[in-house]
Parts: sequence; structure tokens; C-alpha cells
Amino acid sequence: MSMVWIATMSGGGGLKTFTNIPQTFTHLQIRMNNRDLYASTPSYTYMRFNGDTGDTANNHWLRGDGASATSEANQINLNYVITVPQPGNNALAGVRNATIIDILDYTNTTKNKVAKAISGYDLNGSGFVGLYSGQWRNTAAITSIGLGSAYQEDAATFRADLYGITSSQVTGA
Amino acid sequence: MTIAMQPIYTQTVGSGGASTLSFNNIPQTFTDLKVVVSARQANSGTALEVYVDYNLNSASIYGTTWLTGTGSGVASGRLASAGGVVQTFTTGSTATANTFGSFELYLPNYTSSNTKQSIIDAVTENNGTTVEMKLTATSFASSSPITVIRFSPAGGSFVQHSTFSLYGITKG
Repeated sequence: MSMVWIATMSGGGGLKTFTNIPQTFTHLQIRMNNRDLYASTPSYTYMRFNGDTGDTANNHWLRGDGASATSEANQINLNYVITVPQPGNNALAGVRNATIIDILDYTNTTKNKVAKAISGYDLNGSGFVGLYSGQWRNTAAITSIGLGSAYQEDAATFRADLYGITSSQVTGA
Repeated sequence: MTIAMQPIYTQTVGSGGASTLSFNNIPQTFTDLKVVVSARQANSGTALEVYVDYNLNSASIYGTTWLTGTGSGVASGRLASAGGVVQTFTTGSTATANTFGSFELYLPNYTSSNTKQSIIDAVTENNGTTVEMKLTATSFASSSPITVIRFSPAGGSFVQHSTFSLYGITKG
């Protein structure tokens, strides 16, 4: 079995954390489906590794909003690894974002940790779709992942599922 | 019970680096293939190109369409009837130290006798504005099933600790 469910995070409030992540997989994947209680769209879901609040991250995106495409460096020296837009409480009722985040080689202690995400939502007249990336400039193995809004995730809708992915011992070289 | 996604092969680049990396003798028993890569190249650059070919075939039978972002600009383009197609990027030696680019290649119906399509989503990272983020769709106009996938770095070699993992995906 190569992709195994590890845990599901739900509930409202701010940052929530997957803790004690098993170190037995090769890669991690997070699948989210979220909406914010904050009455502003877009709001954003942030991700942080191992509770690190230092300025040890940076991120970038390539995204479109239905009218134009942009690519930006969010900021350099951040304290969150990745940020993806989500609908706020003033958006079309019932709509959440859909996000898949991949973190490869999360236990590898020779690599900084890079996250790659595809994410989007459509509000039947506005929306975002994009490719997002971020890195945590730390080679430590990832043992916890924090997710949440700077404001307050909607407890009725927030869901993040964490999966572990294994790899083969055969090389095929 | 059918296993939907099965690990097939994994390669990790050793201390000598790798000028190319190939998965050979790919089993023909799955529906689709997926490759996930965490890699860095030896040559100078924050993001360097990676060529991908199938069955060691470099004939001009590839077509590609892409969308790319650099952290400050966006572009889209295409190539038709090309050989040796650049499909993705990884970090190079002047990107932040210890930072490896991440990409995923998805190749549906790889055993088909029709033209094969693949898609790749790729990111590089850097503690600075300049990166390469790329979405690529590529056609391979060959009736042969895919038995080999080869990755060739434009920047000399893949460095130690770069990893390439091949998975088979089965429907039903």
C-alpha cells in the first residue's frame, strides 16, 4: 500500500496542528477543503512546520483569477511555508477551496523542506486557481504541520487530511 | 483487493551525481504512471531545465505546451514536432543551499498504442524573488507503449540526494 491516511484535522479557530507525524513514510500529502469565517475574500490558509515561528520560510505562486495570470514572490524570510487562498464568510454560500499539498522527502535531514500545492476555488463569477510553492529553510525532519487561517477557520467546513506515501526499494535502473 | 497506487521503482542519486536518470523495464500491468521527483542540479542557476523522453526516443515526435511563472512574470508557450523536449525544472547550485525542486509527472494510459499525453507540475524554491514554477502538457506521438522514462538535466548532473519515485496507478 503506497498512500495511507494518517490523520484528519477539523474544527474552527486559528492554527491547528498535525502532531507526532510518523517518520515511516517517504512523502506526505495534505488534502484540504476549507472556508474562512472572516468576511473578506480571499482569505488565506497558512502552513508552518515543526512550530517554527522564525523567519525561516519563503514562498511563491503562479495563479490566475479569471482575468489575468500573475507570478509573485510572496515575501522573503517568512514564518509560514505556504499560503493558499480560500473563500471568506462573505463569499458564495457553501463554497470552499480545494487544495492538494505535496511534501517530498519530509524525513530527509540533508534537504530543506519544499512544499508544492495546487489550489483553487470558483465563486461563479470570481475565483482563483494556482500552483503554489514554499520552502522551510531547515533540514530537520518534519514532525508536525500547522494549518489554519490568520483569522478563524469555519468550524463547520474546515477539513485537512494527512496522508503518508511510501516508495519502492527497487531501482529499475 | 486492488492496490490503486503501487510503488514500482525509486532511485536516489549517490555522491557521484547522475548525468541522466532512467526507469527501465517499466511493468506494463498498470493503467497510468506517476513519477515524483525531489532534485537539484550541479550547475549554476536558481532553476535549471530538465529534459524528459520516453523509450530513449529523441525523435521529433514530441509536442509541448506550458505555463510558467518566475516569481515576477508569467509566460506561456508551445513547441511542435520537437525532439529532446524540456518539460520541467529543478533547482540549480545558486538556489538556496540544500533546497531541491519538486515536480510530479502524470502519464495516463502509458501502454496505449495511441499518442501518449503527460502533464507535469513543477516548483523550484529560493530565498529570493526568482524561481521557476511550471505546468507542462506534452504529447509523445508514438504507438509504442512506454517502457522507459529518462530524465536528463540541462545543468550537467543531478546532485546527491536527488530522489525519483515511480508509481503505477490501477483503475477498477
